[in-house]
Amino acid sequence: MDVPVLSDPQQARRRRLRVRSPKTFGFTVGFLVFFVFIGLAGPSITPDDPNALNLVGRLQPPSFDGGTSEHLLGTDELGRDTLSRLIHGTRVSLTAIVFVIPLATLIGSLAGLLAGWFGGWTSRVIMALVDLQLALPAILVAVFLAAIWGPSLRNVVIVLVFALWATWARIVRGETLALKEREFIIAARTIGASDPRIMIRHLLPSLLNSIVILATLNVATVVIAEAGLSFLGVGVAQDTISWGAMISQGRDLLSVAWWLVTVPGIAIISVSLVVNIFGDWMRDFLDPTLRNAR
Amino acid sequence: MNSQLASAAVSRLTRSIIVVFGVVTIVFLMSRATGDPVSFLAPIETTAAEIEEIKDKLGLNDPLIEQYGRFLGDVVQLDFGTSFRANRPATDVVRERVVSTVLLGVAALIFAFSIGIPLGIIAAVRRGGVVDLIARIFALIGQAVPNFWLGLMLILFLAVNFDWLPTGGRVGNTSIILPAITLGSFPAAAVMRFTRSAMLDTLQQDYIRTARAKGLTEGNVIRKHALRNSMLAVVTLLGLQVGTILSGSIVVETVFAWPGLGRLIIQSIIATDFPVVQAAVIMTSIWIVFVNFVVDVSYSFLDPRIRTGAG
Repeated sequence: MDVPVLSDPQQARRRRLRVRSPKTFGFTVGFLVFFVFIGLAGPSITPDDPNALNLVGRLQPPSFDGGTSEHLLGTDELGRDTLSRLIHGTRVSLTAIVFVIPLATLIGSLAGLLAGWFGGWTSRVIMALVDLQLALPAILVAVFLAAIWGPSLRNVVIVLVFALWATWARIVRGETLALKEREFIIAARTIGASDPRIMIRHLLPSLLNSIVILATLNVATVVIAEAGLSFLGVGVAQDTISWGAMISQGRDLLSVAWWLVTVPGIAIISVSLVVNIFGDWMRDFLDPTLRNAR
Repeated sequence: MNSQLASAAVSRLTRSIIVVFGVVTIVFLMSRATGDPVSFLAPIETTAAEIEEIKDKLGLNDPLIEQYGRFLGDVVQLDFGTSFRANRPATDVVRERVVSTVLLGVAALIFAFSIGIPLGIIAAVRRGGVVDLIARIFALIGQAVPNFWLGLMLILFLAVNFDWLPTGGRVGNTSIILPAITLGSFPAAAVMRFTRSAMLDTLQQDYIRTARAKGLTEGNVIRKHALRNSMLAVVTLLGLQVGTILSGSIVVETVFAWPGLGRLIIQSIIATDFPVVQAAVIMTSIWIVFVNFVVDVSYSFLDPRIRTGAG
C-alpha cells in the first residue's frame, strides 16, 4: 500500500499541479477568450440570420453527416441555421454570467462579512435567510416569477442571484469568524479602527482569494442553470435564442434530427467544463485549502 | 450531555420553523403579486361588478395582512384551496404525485451513493491510481453536463436507438431506470468527491497511524477505522442532496414524462393553477427543511464532538 503517511500531502499536491498547470491554463484561457469573443461579436459573424425561415431546407443534417456546406451544423424544423442560432445563444449565457456573478458575489460576500464580523442578531438574521434559500429551490422561484411576469432573462438573473448568494455568505462568514481571532485584526481593533475600516482595509483583502475562487467556480453553474430554466420554459422569453431553449425545441425531434439537441448540449458542456477546469486551477493557485468549497 | 443534546435539537427546530414560516410568507407575497386569479378564471362575459362580488366572497379585497393571517391558518391545516384544473382540493392533487417523486428520488439516491461511495473510497485509498483518475474525470464531466441533456441523450441512445428501455412515463418496472440514473448522476459525482476527500482526511489522522503501527492489516485499518469515521461526514451530504434531488426532479420528470410532483408543478404553472403550485412549493420546502433537520440532529447523535457547538 503506497499511502504516504509521513510526507506532507499538501506539498505533494502542489508539486504535481505545478507540472500540470501551464498547459491547462493556456488552453482554458484561450477557450474563454474565444467564448467571450463569440458572445460579443455574435450577430455580426453569424453565417445566416438565426431567425430566417427556409421551409424547403428544413431539418438538414450537419455538413459532416450528409448535409450541405451551406449549413455547417444543419437546420431545424423551420429551416433556421443551427450554427447561427448557437452563436446567438452564446450571448444569453454570457449576459447571465455578467449579471449574476458580480451581483451574487457582492450580496453574498457583504452578507457573509456582516454576519461574521458583527455576529449576534445580524448573523442570526442573515443565516436564517441562507437557510431559507436552501429550503426554496431556485427552480421553484423561477416557476413563480415566470408565472408572475412571464419568462425573461431578467427573471433568470434574479433567480440565479437568489440561488447563489448564500454560497458566498456561508464561506465568507466562516472565514471572517476565523480571521477575527487573528492578531492583526485584534491589533486594528485595539488602536480604535472603525468597523467599516477593519472590514474593508483589513478583512476584505484576506477574504478576496476565496471570493474570487467562488466566483470562478460558479460561472458554470450559471450557464447550466440558465439552460435548465430556459429548457423548462421558465427561463428566457419565448423568442430569445438560448442554448437551453434550443434543446427544448429540438426535443420532440430527437429521433429524427439528433443535432438539434446534441449541438447546443455540447456547447453548454464545453463552456462549463473549461470554466470549471479554469476554476480548479485558480483555486489550486490561490488557495489549496479551499478544495471542497463547492 | 443529554440535556445539551436536547437544547441543540430545540434550537435547530426553532430555526427550521422560522425557515418554513419564511417560505410560506414568500409564497404568499409572490402569489398575491401575480394579480387576482378571479380575472383569469371568470368567463370573459363576466362584468366588472360580478368580478368584484366574487373577489369579496373569496376575501381578496380584504387588507393584505388579513389575507396573510387567513393564508397561514389554511397552511397549518394543509388547506390550499381547490385546484382550478382538477376541481378537487389542491392538497389531494399534490399528495397523489408524492409517491412517484419519492420513488424516483430514492432510486436516484441509491444510485448516487452506491456509485459514489465505493468510487470515492478506492480513489482515496489508491490515490493517483487509475480509479482515482477515472473518478476525477467522471466528477469533472458530471459537473458540466446538464441533467436534462443527459436524460435526452440516454433516451436517444438506449430507448430510441436500441429500444432497451422505455422513453418515458411510469409503466412497468424498467421505466424508473433512466430517470433515476439521470437524476442521480450529479449527486453521484458530489458523493464521490466528498467521500474521497473525507477518506483522505481520515487516512492522515494519528489514530490511523496507530492502527497501522499496532500491526493491523491494511484492509482492517481501512474498513474499521478509516471508513467508519469518514462515513460520518457523508451523512451530512445526504441532507444537502435532498434539495438537489427535489429541484432536479422537476427537470428530469419533465424530460421523462414521469408523473411526479415536479411535472405537476410545471403543468400547473402552464395552466395557471395557483392553488396546486402553492401547495406543491410549500410542501416541497417543508420536506427539505424536515430532512435537513433530521440529518442535523442524527449527526450530533453520531458525533459527540459537535454537540457542544450546535446553534
